[in-house]
Amino acid sequence: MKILVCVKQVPASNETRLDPVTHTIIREGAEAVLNPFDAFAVEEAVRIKSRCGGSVTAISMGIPAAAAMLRRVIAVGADEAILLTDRAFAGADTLATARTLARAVEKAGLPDLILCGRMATDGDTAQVGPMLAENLGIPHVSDVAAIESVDDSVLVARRLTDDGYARVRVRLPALVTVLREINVPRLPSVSGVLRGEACGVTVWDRAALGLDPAETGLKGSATRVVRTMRPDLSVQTVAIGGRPGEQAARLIECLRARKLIETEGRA
Amino acid sequence: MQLIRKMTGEYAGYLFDESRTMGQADWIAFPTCEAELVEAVRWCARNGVSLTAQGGMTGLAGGASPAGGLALNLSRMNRILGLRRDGAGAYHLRVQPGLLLTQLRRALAAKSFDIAGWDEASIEALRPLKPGEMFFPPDPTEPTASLGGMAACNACGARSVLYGCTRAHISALRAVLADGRVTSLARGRDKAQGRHVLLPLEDGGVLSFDLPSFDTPPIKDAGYFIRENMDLVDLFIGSQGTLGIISELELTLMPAPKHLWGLTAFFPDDENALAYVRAIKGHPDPGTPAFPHRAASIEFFNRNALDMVVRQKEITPAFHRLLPLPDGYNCAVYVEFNGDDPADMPPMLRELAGVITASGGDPDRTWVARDQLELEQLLFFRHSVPETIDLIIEENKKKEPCITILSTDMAVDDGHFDELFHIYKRDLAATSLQWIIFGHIGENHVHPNILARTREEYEQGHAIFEKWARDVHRMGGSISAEHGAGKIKKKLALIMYGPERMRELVSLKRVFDPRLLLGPGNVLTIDSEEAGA
Amino acid sequence: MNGLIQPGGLWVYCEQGPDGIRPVVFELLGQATRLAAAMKCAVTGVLLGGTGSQASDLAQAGADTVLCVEDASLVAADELRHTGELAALVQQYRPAALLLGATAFGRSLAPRLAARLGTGLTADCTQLDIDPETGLLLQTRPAFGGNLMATIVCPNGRPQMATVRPRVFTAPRRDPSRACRIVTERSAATGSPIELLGRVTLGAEAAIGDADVLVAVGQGIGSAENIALAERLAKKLGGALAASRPMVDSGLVPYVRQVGQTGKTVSPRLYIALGISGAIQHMAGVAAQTIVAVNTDPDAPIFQYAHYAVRCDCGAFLREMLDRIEEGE
Repeated sequence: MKILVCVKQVPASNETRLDPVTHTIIREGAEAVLNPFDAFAVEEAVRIKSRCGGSVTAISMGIPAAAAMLRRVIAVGADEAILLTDRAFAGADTLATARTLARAVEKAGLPDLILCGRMATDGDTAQVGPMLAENLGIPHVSDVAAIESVDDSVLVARRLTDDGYARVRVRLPALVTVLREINVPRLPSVSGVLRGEACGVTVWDRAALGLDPAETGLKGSATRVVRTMRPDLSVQTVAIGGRPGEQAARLIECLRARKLIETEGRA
Repeated sequence: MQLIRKMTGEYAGYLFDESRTMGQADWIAFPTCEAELVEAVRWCARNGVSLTAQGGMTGLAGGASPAGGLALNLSRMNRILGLRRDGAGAYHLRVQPGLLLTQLRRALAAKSFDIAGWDEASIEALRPLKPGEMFFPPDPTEPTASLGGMAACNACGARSVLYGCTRAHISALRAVLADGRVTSLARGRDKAQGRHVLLPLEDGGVLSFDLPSFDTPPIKDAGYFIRENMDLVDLFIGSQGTLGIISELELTLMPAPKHLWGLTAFFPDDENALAYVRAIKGHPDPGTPAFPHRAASIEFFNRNALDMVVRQKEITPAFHRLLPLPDGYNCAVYVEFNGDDPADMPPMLRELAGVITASGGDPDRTWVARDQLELEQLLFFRHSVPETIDLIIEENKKKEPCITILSTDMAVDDGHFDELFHIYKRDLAATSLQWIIFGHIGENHVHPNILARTREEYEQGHAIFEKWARDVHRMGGSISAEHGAGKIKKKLALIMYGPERMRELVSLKRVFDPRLLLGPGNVLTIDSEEAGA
Repeated sequence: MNGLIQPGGLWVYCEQGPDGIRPVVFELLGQATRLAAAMKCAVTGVLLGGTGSQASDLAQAGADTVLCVEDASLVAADELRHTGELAALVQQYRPAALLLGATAFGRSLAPRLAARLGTGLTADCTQLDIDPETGLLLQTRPAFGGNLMATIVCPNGRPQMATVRPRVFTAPRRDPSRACRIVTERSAATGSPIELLGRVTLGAEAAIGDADVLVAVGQGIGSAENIALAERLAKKLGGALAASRPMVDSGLVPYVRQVGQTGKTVSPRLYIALGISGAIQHMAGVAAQTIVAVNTDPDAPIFQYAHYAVRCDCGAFLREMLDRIEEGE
């Protein structure tokens, strides 16, 4: 069984704050890490490989330094890694990203199963997986909490829906996006890390994928960010002080006055 | 809001610390600034009421559990007051004692400071500081510890292998004495002359006295610190609230390492783990390759500790995310490295693979954490051990209220550690007690814990601890490397110091606190008590 | 081409759940009416697998036209089939914009459809406007981890597609006098490689999206015991327990109770936030009438949103609240 897993490098923290002295926005000293959701996809891929045999290929679009992250994926059990990197890929929205990934998947050979994390923590859009599946003309199942069974032609999964869970059967090839609850990702062993370090990462640029510059990066994106602003958070706040007992009593009084609670207890 | 409040049921949570030592108090106060703290102490002095200082209440020796009188809770003195850069370019951060370690870490990581009330010089010093550039190295496993509490018992935690204890990172402090007078001391400026001390007071007065005639243990010790020509700040660090109440601390920050990584290796037997630790510490057995790098922390988990966590994982949803242990595990050693260049890691791992193999381990049966997120998984695992102990003790205490956490943190030098470790194992294996051993093996103070289920087991545990205190005393070690003696290990302190030196320490206390109002029941055994015991 | 639906219109995808049209559809119709006025176009609701009889509900909420594909098999949530149907309709009628609810299904369907149409898609918008100069749909969403709001446009691709989380907007008051035209299309009636084997519906207690009162816990809650107290308080107040992302990530509270950008958006009348710092990722999911913040950290951002700020230890606060409320029973 040929499995492909899509991974992305993201900042370890998204926290942004105002510098207390200069009042300008500062990004926390941002270490780049494997998107946490993708770790679950990688783990699931490695587990399926150990059950069904086959191979796991990791693919990522990013800056050249993302090769280090891909070696980490090899350290936990992927067999090979492909990095799509080119200045022309910069500024891609989800549409352009999915287009570039799809071309690379076609070049690598369509696998039986593609696994993606539910979303990336730096964008929170959850769009690239389904878009990639569409570009490849294969079905996708989102928000999968468990892969109950899989063989060369069919996969049965439990997916999270708005009303609970649904069990679905999908014909392969297909793309699956996974939730955190699907597994507990392993950490690599010393041997695994050394294997990853020794392993080469295949690098493809735009020309290697045969993409037109107008199809990739900012140029190939349908959306543009026109403005960013810090949200206005001001609300009239009533501070309720005192000891916990007094605070509870006063709060109950206030909430009762606003008809938010209907209890008859002591205030 | 009244400063001195009657102790009522709503404050029941302030009667015990993490050790589950139940205390009692008639009053409680939550000062928000030094002036209020002084006012509370003066009130006690006027009324002859004893007082016990409290910070994050995360102590494991009962030091913050009040023994009557006033619970002086410093949790609302949690502001960061200012920043100074010294001539050598080092940053010093002034904080109130109730500031929690986690709050400090967040402030430094995100450069998030409330600078209202800061002086101009502090604001200017802050301007060039980058988020995450500096850090405060001491790392007791519990991040909700308060800085005041950490100073009071000279906490150290895992990373002290590389960075030393809290004492090493405090450059100045202010303390309120039992009569409400305040002293302000700076390292390097205010020192003893030999064993004579002229302690300057803010009101212009001076406290003149002689230090005890002996030096406290030369190895890591959470208690009193006595040396000739010592820095006077060190009198208060480790004195566990018995000499004065720390009202302000100046912390020395260090440049934060840019790359933290670590690994846990599993071994078939404790002896393999000990050999591995010796090699990591630079003393490899014959046949084991040399390992020339310094670890920031070295932690041990024995089989019982791992089994306990595995069992708890089945019950506690919060532990669901714990990594599954490799089949056939026995014990494990976690090693953390703090460096600046991720490229240093692979060659070091190659060397470690050799050390692991030579020590009887298997490089395939390891967990490597290569970045912050992965390291958090290993730290989560480490933290799950004391968390599990907490859960079990909480449960056991429901059946037998006298039960508290029984954890030791005795320390000896490198030459005696293996002997002590084998004593621990032999003494515990001879009982039917539930016990685990885990903790800071890198600095020769693992934590044997006894999880008592009955009063008999609890008393048996104390007896074993007393025996170990005599063993450790014989080896020239300390009965408490980091938790402090508090109330639970007061008897062990008496064993370590002996009656003569204990009397000298009590005399020292009387200089600061003639009526013995501060921290009653902590560390010291007063003569009358001894006679009565 | 049916003359009743002009090109350049504003479309709302009318997703159906087990209980009929999902509430988010009406919330979207309310926004669509406002936007369509600025765009000077009509609002069309697209109902796959529905019947004309459902159209009057949509009309009362603001749909001028309901485009109905009457094929009962389309009621099943199938991304591939819905993509096919919607793409065909879009190509036929050329709407200017298409709004979808950011339900689990909507978030799975919308990107697939956008890729097929080769157009832009903005996820989880919290604000929608029309640029008076360009006439473009201004789609605002939390970005960069949420501490910034980014406004996004899709200058060339059509339709401009956006998803909106349920309960971010309020549903408009129904106007019973409003009626609409119904346009019916035939389905393409294709098969699907995805087969539904069964469903597990989660218990009612998990439905935080509909609760009037939510007691939400965050990292500052203190202990697992306090979570149990919070749940007890929630029950006493006739509400449900909710949680912030770290609590869910650490496994203390199940995901179905997660509020925030990556969880559910909730709009209770009363939201009691216990030990929640108030990161914008969390607050993006809170559209509460009244917010009570309980936190020991005076600098917690949650206090900027709170109507009532209680600086207090969560455990102590919970015990006091329960004492008083339970005494009243």
